[in-house]
Amino acid sequence: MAFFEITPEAIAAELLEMQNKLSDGAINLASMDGLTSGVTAHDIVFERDKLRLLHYKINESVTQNTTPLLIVYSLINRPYLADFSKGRSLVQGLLDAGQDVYLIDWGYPDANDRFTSLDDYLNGALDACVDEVCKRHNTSQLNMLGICQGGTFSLCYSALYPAKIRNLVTTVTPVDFHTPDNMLGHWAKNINTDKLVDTLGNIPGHVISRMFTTLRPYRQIAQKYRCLVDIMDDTAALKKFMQLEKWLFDSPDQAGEAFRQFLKDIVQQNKLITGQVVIGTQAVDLKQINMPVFNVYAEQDNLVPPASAKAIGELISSEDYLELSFNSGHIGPFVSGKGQKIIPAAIAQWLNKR
Amino acid sequence: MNFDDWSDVITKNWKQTQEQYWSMMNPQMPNQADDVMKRATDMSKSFAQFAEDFTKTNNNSTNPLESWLAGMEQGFINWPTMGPQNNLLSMTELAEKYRESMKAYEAAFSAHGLDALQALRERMAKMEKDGGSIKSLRELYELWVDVSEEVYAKFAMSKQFQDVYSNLVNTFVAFKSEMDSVVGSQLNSFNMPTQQALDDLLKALQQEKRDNEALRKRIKALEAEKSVTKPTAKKVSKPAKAKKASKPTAAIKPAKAKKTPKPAAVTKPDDLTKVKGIGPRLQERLALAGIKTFKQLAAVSPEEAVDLDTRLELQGRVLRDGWISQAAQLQGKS
Repeated sequence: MAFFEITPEAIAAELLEMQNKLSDGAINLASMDGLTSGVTAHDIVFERDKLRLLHYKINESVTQNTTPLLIVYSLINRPYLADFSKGRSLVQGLLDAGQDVYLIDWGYPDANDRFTSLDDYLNGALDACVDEVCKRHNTSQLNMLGICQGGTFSLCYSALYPAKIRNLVTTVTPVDFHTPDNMLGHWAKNINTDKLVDTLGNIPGHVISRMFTTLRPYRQIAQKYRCLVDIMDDTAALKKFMQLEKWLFDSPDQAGEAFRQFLKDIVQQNKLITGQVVIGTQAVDLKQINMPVFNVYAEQDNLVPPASAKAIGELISSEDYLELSFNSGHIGPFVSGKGQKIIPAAIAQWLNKR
Repeated sequence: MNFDDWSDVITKNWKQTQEQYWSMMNPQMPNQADDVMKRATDMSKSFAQFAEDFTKTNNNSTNPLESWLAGMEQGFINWPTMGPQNNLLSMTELAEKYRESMKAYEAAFSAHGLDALQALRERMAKMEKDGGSIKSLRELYELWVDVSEEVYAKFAMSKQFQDVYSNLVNTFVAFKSEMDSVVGSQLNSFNMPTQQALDDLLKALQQEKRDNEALRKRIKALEAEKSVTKPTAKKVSKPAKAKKASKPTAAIKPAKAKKTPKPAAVTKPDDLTKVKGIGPRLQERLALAGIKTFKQLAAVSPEEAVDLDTRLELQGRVLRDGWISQAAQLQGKS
């Protein structure tokens, strides 16, 4: 057989099939109803500026872990990734494994947040949420679960307030931004952060999401949208695609001062691992973290390479430290079916023993 | 049937049908699907272009793949000389610097495009050697995506990429910053609000928020302190009212009169859990609020009861469960 065997007729046939799928797809897209994420029943129990603290309805048919669990999401993208859809919800998985789950929704920063700093977010807002959850459960400690940048924040918070954290779970959390395979760290290196924030103020969300796309442009553009045409006649698959697409581009703006410190101190100068990040008046010393830590990371994660996440192991003084790797990209642990079978149960099991 | 004939068929009919479809569907598309539909259609158009390029370059060619690759390469070689994409007016040297950065950025990407095609050649050569084959245009497309992404990953981690990327961002920001200050000073001269003025306000507002939060915390702490001493002060005055004869006299003598917490400290606490509705934990919390005996609880006025209820988050239990009357009864018994 020759290496390349394709007749013009075959090419035309491919195009015709594509055309048909595209036209069916147009109809399906046009008639698609609302894409909802954040599907699990909850109450909003605390508000502060734009922040809302969600408390999910516990699953009463299972034995409860009496220590409440607070999920701290990143400021980048929206937290409903953790409660994505029926059957793909970290929150639901944790509830079904007996956890009493809270989640912080940071909201959408606007001009009023131009000078909101990491100090405001961590010592102000996050601390207020922790105190609120503890008060509601009449306890002095809770379990914390951080996702991506939310995990980085959780590490900082746990180092500043170790007495308030019983157990810490970090998921796809960047710690070391100077690992050899760290594309984000590599790109950020020579950017003049001060001038950037002084000029742009809050960083527009679409700038960040476009930058993420540029990490893998062939897959994220050329392949993804061509493959979309293939599934456009399948309403179920199309809806799944659109849900994820909606989340990918649902990018809040980044509050200016918080972004400045995060990019300059934590990403560019990698100060988290040298203990030189100062939040408010206190330096974050990761050695103050002595509570049990469970670190979940993704093996094919191009945003947070495994080496970046695993770095935390050497930096904390916890004796009880466990890692769990999952074979997927950055968001696989949250949106893949397999991820949902493994990860919430593993986390819950680990928490229940402590 | 040769490629020439099919090239016409594909380009004219296919593209026409596509344009028709897009203009038909466009007004009916709800907003959220609009962007995605457009991207899907764009990629389909790209693929159709891919098909067109492929067929076009194959006039009288015995090696379709080679013709296609050569055509693609020529496209990349021609790219930087087609002139800058963005026609920025060179008002200042910052604009010029930004323009240069943009050119360097695009040049880097065009070189990358060539590298990717070279890698594709090599991959296909290897495949052929191993007895593999490509059976459809789609397979070729997917192979091109895979190989290009691999090459891109190396390119994106290069020093060159780091430089062109950061130069692009930094020169853009420098240029915009200059433009903003020019605009700002013009607005100023018209007595109109500027971004700088707004930023100064926002900064001050943020500090006010922080100060308010600190004050709120301080007030909470002070209220908690105050509630510990409050019932004790009341306790001294009550006996002075009830017993008309000796007590007031005793109170008047400064040496002996002690309106201090001392008497309270000497009083033995009662078992408040005897009150229906008060458990051991609640008893602890009441003690922290200064109520340790039936007498103290019985002495709580309706207004104080509401206050206590709010502070300890008792959801109306103080009055509803009749703690005060229960305490009064139990006081009589002890």
